[in-house]
Amino acid sequence: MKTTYPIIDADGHVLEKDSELHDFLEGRYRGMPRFETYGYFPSLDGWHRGSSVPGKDQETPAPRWVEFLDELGIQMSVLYPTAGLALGLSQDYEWACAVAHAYNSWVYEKFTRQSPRLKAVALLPVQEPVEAARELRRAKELGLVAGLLPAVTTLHKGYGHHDFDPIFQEAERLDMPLAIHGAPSRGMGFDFFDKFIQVHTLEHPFAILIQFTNMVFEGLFERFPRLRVVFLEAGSGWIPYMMDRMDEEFEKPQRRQAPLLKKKPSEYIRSGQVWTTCEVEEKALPQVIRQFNPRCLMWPSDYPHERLPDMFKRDIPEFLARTDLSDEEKRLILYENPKEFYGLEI
Amino acid sequence: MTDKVFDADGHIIEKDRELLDYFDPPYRGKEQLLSASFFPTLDGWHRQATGIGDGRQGRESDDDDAVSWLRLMDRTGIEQTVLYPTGGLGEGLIKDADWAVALCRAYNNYLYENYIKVSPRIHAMALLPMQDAEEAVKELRRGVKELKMLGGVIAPVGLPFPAGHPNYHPIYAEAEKLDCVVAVHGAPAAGLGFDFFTKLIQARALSHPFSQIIHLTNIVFEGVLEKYPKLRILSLEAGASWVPFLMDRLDLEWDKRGKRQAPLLKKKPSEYLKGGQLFFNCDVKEHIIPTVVSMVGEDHLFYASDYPHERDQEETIGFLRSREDLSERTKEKILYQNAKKFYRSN
Repeated sequence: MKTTYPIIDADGHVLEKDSELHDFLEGRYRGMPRFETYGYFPSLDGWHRGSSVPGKDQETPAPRWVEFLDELGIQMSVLYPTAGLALGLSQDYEWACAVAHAYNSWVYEKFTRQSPRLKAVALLPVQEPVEAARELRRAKELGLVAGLLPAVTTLHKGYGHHDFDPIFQEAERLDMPLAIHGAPSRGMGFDFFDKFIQVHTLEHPFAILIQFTNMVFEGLFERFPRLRVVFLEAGSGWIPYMMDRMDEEFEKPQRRQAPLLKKKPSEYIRSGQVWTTCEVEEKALPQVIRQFNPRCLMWPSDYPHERLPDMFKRDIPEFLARTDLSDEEKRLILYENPKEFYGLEI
Repeated sequence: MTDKVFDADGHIIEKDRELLDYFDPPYRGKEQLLSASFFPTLDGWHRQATGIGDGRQGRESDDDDAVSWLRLMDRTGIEQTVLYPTGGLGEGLIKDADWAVALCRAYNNYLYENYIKVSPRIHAMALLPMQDAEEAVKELRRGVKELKMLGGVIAPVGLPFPAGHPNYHPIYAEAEKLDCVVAVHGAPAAGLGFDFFTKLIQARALSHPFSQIIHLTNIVFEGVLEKYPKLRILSLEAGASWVPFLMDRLDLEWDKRGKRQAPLLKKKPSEYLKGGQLFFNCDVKEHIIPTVVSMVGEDHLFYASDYPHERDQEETIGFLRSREDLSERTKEKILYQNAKKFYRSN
């Protein structure tokens, strides 16, 4: 099935290589010998993710990515990190700033400069909000399309905290959207799981929900009315649930605890400031569209993670074949919404 | 439509001084025990202090005794209720297994003498000392056989293993044999990844759903429902609109790696969620109950009063009855038939 509009992938991934990032480090880390035993980014958690599966793409440099876009009939992808998703765990703030800076230079040089069909988001060192704001500004100059806030950090505060305001101020000023993306699985109440299937079920949604709850109730979207934030890789079925649950909490006298809100949490959630990606097979999607906002949903490929290349090819046909979504809704999700969110010229 | 209501989850508020006389030796009557609360505090939150700060109306001190309960039931049309603990929801945080066994026994004795014996309309669930699975099996049997309880309640937050762990399987085997239900009830907000929240409204939005999702993910993937096909498990106080989300997410993971990591499953995880062994309490205001009904089934949802933690039963029961997006039959099942049936109450 061919669409009359170009399809945009709102969340693909690059596979970072320390040997390449090494050349992009600046300042006191420039030219410093690399100790191969340990990676530049903290490991996500105790789970072994370093062995791949035969047949899965082990390397996805720009030419392979473009080839993948052609294989699926996609026009464009917005690329996110893989190992870099653990940046929030770095307790060495100077290094966090340096490696984020290097990553952004690297992704620009190796991907976005290689093809106009590859876009990327900037990794932000949230440990130092002022520095993160500066990096977001530089990202805009490099043509990167959003800033990434790692969902899991060791900072003991959520992004609703005022300490992070410099990042949100700058995002509004630059009209740059922000993305919240998890991956590390530690410290969210299921460290006792001993099978990865259970861990992977929850690691993304829990990290997203924690930040989401904090950001909404701390009035972030009231304080920054032009801010747009996408919550990634948890699907979209959690949104109707959280709209009701947060409204229920807010109805009671305990709204005292969210003094900055001028309207119900659900109204902020569907205001156009909160965005998310949806899985092609989510059964609750029609309900999400009704209760949330059809203009704030996007499709993510998640390539090259998790699956064999052939499995990715089924996503778009499966999605287009759904009879419980209108053609217009599909067009919004596959094209209009990501174009609007990332400000893509296409 | 019947105007009867079956309340699947009401509460009592335990008082240590009263429990003291219901212990077996050597703890019975030992005044020094009163210097610390019997159940661990749920977490660092003092919910009553926050409530007073919020300007919540204070409750009368004895509004949870059997007489008050019957008065509430007469007023609101609740035919029968099933009582759960309040402080006892911190059971999973107890370290000393001997103490856990003694305390659960005292709690269960107390419930029997002061509630179950008072009226056939008031039921209760045996609090299970999960620190010692063998004793938990015995207590479940004693609760059901001798104390006329309808099943056992697991307060899983804080336990060293998730609820589906093989350590606990003898409890499920016993429940199946006794043809009684097992309820999973969260409440503690500690150790779930959001200890940095400084407002209870944020913690409350996530504490119940996170504990339900963690333990049900484990129960499903560990094959507990396959191994014990007649077992019935209740999910309490988290609402139900997250269930479609979890169904999709579990299926997605199972497609990718289920064969090896969830080898006991004979069908898709979502089939177990709607398979008649799991039952979910729904909040009357959840928008997507119709979607939940179509995905999970109208036989698997139920109403819970949450009295005396919540005090708006007339309003909530009336609200559910007045919903036009649910059929009369569905409403009757949610308000009455389903709970009566899965609890096996006359």
